[in-house]
Amino acid sequence: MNIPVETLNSVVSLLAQAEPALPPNLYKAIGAGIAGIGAGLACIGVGIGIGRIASSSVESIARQPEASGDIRGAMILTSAFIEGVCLFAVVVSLLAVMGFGTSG
Amino acid sequence: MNLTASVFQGIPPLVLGAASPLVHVSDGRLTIDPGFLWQLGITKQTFMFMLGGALTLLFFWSYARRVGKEPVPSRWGNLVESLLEFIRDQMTRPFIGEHGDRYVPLITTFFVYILITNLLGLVPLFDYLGHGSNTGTGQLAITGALALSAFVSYHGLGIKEQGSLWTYFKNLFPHVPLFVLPIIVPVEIIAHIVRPCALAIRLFANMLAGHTMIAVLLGFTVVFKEGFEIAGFAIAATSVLAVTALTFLELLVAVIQAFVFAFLTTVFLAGAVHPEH
Repeated sequence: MNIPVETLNSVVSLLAQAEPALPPNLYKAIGAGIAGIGAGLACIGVGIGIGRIASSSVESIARQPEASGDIRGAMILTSAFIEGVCLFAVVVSLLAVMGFGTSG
Repeated sequence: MNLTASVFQGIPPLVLGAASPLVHVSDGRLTIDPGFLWQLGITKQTFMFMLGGALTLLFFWSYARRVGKEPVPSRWGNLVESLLEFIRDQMTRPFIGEHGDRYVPLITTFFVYILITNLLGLVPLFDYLGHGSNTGTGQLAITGALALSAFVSYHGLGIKEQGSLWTYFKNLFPHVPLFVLPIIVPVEIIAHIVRPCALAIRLFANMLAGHTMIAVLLGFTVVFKEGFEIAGFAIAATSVLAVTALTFLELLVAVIQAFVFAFLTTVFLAGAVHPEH
């Protein structure tokens, strides 16, 4: 007997007893929720990275205010690259939600 | 044909929640569509992209006509010239050097085209031109086409610069000892394929994410309109203020993403034209 499938089926039947109208694509909904969690996890790394960029650039502007133009340009450019990484993860989770959402 | 009547017949459900906020960022047909345009494949975003191309041509041509005739550039000429100088001094010369000046038109075209198409997505009343989003670059097909043309451009210019295809191919991979080569070659090939895809997805996802946020926040005004009379008004006012702030951020993101695309194209072009030994 397949233990994980049995456990999952018993959990689902418990849920079905608690709430009479179970959505027909419960597993797809759970998968979509997990995709959302994945996108949020990607944003953790991006927040840390851009925070480090901002902290070191502000510190170097404080050390040498006459270079602030160059430093500001570099800060915005590198933040855009790292933001792109977060958005790759967002696109992947959108694909996960859309691909399995209501069709197939 | 009564243009006003036909425009307002096809009024897209702008302020209605629809099925999901993604309806407001997907692609749809134009409002004044005599039918054959949709069959040709011209959707609203394609039309916006072509409009961006026409505006780019107008941007440069409006100054190019006058450039030989006046000794001192006018205000508009100053704008165009300062843009070109910015790209030459900040992007091309640090990476390619003096003889990279011939690539400035290419990079400027990418920059201005993507900038204008991104900014067209922020013009408010263009939404009435059709169903869906009015950001040309909010679609992976269009940004994929831009990235593909950048890919073909820098590889083609690299091949032309270095003479033959075989020389260019040898210079694609760093010159390492022979036993490291089976590891380096697949990694470099994957890197070369992933870079234009990253260009496409970065631009597409930035534009899509911004407009989806705006659609979601504006959808709050609709979702909360039943049964939340006073609180609903407060929520609506807050969401409109938040959308105003987000639109300013979107303006910044539009300019930055155009700059990043042009900057990365310059870096790849520099790598193709001047490989490091």
